[in-house]
Amino acid sequence: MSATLQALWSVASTVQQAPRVASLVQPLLTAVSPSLATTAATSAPASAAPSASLPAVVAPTAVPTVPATPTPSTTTTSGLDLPSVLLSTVVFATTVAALAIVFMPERTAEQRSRIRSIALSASAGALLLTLVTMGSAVSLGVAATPDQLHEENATWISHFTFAIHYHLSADGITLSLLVLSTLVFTSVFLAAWKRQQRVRLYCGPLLLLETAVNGALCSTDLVLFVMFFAMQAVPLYLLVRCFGAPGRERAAARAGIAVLVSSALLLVGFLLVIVHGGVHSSDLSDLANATSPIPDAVATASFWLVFGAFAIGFFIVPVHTGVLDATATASSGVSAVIAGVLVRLCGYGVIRFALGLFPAQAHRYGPALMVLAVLSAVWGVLVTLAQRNLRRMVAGLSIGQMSLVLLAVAAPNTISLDGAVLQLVAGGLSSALLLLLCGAIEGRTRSVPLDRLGGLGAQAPRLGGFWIVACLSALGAPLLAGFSAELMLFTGTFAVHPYATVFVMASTAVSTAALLWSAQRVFMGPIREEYGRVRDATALELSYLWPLVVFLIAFGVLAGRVVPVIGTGLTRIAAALGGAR
Amino acid sequence: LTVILNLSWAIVLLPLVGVGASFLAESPRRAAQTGVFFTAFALAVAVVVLVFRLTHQIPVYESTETFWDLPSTSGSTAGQPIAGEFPVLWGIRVDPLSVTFMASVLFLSLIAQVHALASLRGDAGLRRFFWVAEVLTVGLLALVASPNLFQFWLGWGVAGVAAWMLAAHHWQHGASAALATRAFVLLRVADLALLLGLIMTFTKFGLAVSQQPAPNGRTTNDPFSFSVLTPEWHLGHIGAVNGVGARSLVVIAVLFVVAATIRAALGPLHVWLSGTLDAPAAGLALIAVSALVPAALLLARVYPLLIEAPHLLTVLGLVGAAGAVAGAALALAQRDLFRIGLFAVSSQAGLILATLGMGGYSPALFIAFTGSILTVVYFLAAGNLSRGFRSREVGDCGGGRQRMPRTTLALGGWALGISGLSLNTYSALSATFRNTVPPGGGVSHLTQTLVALGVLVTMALTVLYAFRVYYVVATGEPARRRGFDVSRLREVAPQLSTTVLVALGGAAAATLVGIPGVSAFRVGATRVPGLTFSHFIFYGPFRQQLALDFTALAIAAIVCGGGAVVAWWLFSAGRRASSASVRARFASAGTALAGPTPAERFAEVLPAGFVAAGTTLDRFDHDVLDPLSTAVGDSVDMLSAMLARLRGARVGIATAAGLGVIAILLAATVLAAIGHFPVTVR
Repeated sequence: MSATLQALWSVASTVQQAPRVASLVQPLLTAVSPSLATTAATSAPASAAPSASLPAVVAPTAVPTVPATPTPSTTTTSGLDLPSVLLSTVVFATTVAALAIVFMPERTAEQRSRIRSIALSASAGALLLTLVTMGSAVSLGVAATPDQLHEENATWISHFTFAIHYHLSADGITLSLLVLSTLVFTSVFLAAWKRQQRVRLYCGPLLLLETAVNGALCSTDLVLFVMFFAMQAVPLYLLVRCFGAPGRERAAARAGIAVLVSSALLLVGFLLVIVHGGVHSSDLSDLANATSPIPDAVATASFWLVFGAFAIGFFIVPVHTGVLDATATASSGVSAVIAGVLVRLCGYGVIRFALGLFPAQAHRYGPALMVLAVLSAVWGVLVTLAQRNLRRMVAGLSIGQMSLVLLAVAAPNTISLDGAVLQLVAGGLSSALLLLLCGAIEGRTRSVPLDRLGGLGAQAPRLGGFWIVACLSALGAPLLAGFSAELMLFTGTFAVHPYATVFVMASTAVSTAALLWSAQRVFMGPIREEYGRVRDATALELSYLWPLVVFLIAFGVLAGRVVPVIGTGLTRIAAALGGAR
Repeated sequence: LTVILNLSWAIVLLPLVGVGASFLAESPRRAAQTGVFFTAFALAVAVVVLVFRLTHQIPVYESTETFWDLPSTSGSTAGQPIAGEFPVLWGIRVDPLSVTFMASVLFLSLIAQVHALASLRGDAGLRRFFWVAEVLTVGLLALVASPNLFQFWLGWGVAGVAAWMLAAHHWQHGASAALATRAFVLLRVADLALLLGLIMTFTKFGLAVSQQPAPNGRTTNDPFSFSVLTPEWHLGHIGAVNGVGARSLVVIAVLFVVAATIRAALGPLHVWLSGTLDAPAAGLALIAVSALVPAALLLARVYPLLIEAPHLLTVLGLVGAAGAVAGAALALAQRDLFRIGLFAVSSQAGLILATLGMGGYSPALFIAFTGSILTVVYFLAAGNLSRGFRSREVGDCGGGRQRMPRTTLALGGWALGISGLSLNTYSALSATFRNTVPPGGGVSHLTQTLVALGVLVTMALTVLYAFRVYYVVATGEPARRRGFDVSRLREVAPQLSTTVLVALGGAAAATLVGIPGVSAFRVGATRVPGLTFSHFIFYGPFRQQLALDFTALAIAAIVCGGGAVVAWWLFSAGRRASSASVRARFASAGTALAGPTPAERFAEVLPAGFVAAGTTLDRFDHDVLDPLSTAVGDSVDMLSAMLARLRGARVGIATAAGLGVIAILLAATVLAAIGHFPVTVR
């Protein structure tokens, strides 16, 4: 019995469920093995301790109170001091699968099916682990949720002038976006289930892309982040280059170069911070705790380098065309990944690094960012309205969505940033859903020009229903994910930039028109003879569309449970911003 | 006590259960019946709560749950702190206003659904209609029972989405779908105005609200709660809230008024409602309810703010009066049965606003109460007529008294009711004469005169358009048209005509409670509560037992009677010859007004303007921005072409390079994770 409970405790520790499972297991442990119970009891509060130190209300003029950096070289505390590999598993499960796929033949249908199964299993495994972790965080609530919910930290390279750490951590922001990333990738793998040609070439880079995204999301070390970020370039180039529509060569090159240029800018920006940080470490936690301030000119240059790097992939006018082109040209699954995940990763980067590292600069240049946000919002919705291609229209929608996030960055406070993170998730889910639906429509009609579509609702009512749900979420209809996001975002930004907020809100009304007209042009109207034999969503399509819809609803209805978890990740940034003013 | 009051939760949630149950029903017909059952069940519960609330003098009861509770808010970069807390709650508020309108909304929803059961028999979208109708009901109930602005906005948005889906019921007709889409886009403008008002309320008052002592069982105040905000608005008016002045109050109030006027389809903002006219009659009835009730409820809930904001009531009164006149005039000019209903809604909304502007809180809500019922009566009757006569043109109808007696009777009842018998015009006029603007407001005599004039003109025009429809439909003979056999014209199915008559009965009952001067009385030892509307629903802490205003009553009666006679002379079949010249003048004026209004034409042109602007920007993207990034991208293509020349397989090289990098990364990270990366040796 004792051995069984010990094993149970080990499993619980491994998956970072210590505080919750400890409360369940503690009475049994006490009854069976008092000494073991003592070990468990001392470890459980340790992981929950940071929450007690979190300020309930961070006063606007408060001195920044950054939680203490975890000691390097050890993994997260757990009952039996076992190393936690949860985040590494989430990040690298797909890499292992990719490497396995490289050596597998794909001559027969069975072999191709095996490749797809491995890819799907790896991605779904990552999704499952992320969901369990997110579920645990949500059920623990804000009172019991520590700042860094999960952490793996080891010194990696220390013989430079600064130490590079293998430091993965997942707070509320990371977890929310991990859910988005793993869910979208899993959906894309499901969407590719019937693919018969070049399966290995499709699944391998896609798996590597998932590793890159998840790794970047979890990285707390600047150099590690850049490595993961740059890792997107090759898989993205391959996926767009090999599986896109006409014009894919140019789009692939532009997307690849966009990632590489972003990575280079990031590297330069981060190196400036690391060198002038005076802590001889590239770890974000160490840099946040640095006592000597970075010279203002260096910080300003680094801020714009970092912001510029993310802006390239962020759909910010006037550097929006590169990624937009890739989204419109790639295959529907890859488009869903680009608009649903990669763009949101850049949004995450701006919040985590541009705001977290350079609060004073973010404050100083807030008005400039605000102007960019308004410009992008207006530009985005108008360009969206003018599109005649369904995919380009959905891609254009992302410009408007990301301008909301940029507005929150220009007016950062806890409310707006909470809303921005929720908007990243909501926008990512709705964009991915819409682009996967674009793929389904293209597959049926062999056509994407909007003026050649129409009346599909009669033949494909389920697809129409999904499309409308995605549109409603994107425009912020009640009880869908976009609703809470917009409320929080606009509430937060209005206090700082009221006129810009009104402008951006007005642009959302126009984007409503674009979205609804898309639904009307594609699904409504009289039935067209040429589409008379179009089929409705198949079971396979339902299997990847339904989860996206369920999560769109879940993030809307359960916003009250998710928002506090996201808030835990914003504590550090809010504290830094409070001190910067 | 609280058990019965908490039944209000069930009232809101039962239709929601109906939505789920209708999905599970095996056939569309069964789904429809399921929807009707749950609505009826909710109505029964609502009546129980209403009766309980009528017979018990208890304070406002609220039961709330947390939607989210964001503990810390700070870091504003403009140096302006935001409120200390950002909790958002949802729940129920049981007060006379909410229980009355919950019962009213459910009654109207039930009537419309029962009507749709027969009128949409065999329709391909039967199941969809019913679950959307249930969703709309839930949205309306959520906002009626809302304890705070947040939930109000939630219900407002849900009802808007449902209204769009009802409007697009016949989505196979391209024009219907396009109009419905246009309607929803305009509704979104109202949504955004309300959202902006809500956000500004929080920004201006959130900090002050969070500093107030919290109610029992909570750590913080709800910053959107009507109960909490009412005193705060007053404090803001007297300058006791930091950062809040008259301008803030006016801006917030104007945002709410704009949201309400768009939602209520007050001219020229009626364009959204005109986009829904292709919906089935029952759907249109529900959409009309979702226009009037939310607008009236919003203005009622924020009425303390409207009083505190300088000159707001004046603006409200004048805008309302102008809108009422315009709506009634346009209704008189219309030839389409449903467009007449649309402008009738617009006119009633104007009366509500004008009455509120004159301080007539209870009378305005009474107009909304009876007006929404009469609107349903009209749209259902119009649906029956268009079904029977196979036309939506008023001019095509005739002889209804003989051939469609029950529907024509209902139409007559509606005409009498909207012309003044339902006491709606009397309520507006008496409020204007009385000018009972509560302390803090203040309306000049000039405004009072102008509003009174507007109400009078509206009354006259209303009688004319209502009785014009009635006389044209009831008397004479239907127009002879190809494919329409007059001899086969019969009353529609009994279920359809009976439903309209039941709705008319509801309107009659609603009128009865509006009769002023009836307070509680005793029969022996039993105390019978006064069922007077103003005795039950009133503004402020004290009951507002409105006395009978004989002048207003006399004027209303004279205008109603006189107007009916004039309409009979003008439009009755037997008198048409003698009034031909006058009718010809009316017709020439009517031709100008009958078509699309300038606002509707503008709404048609506006999207093209946006698209043109978007096309220009898209061309700029294509001609200027694209080549810049393409130049960079081309260099990569050149590089890959060079690699291809070297080995002939560019993909192979890229794959190998990528995988090599990944493999090195993976090995290094795994080693680092277990603490054995070679280069860590110092």
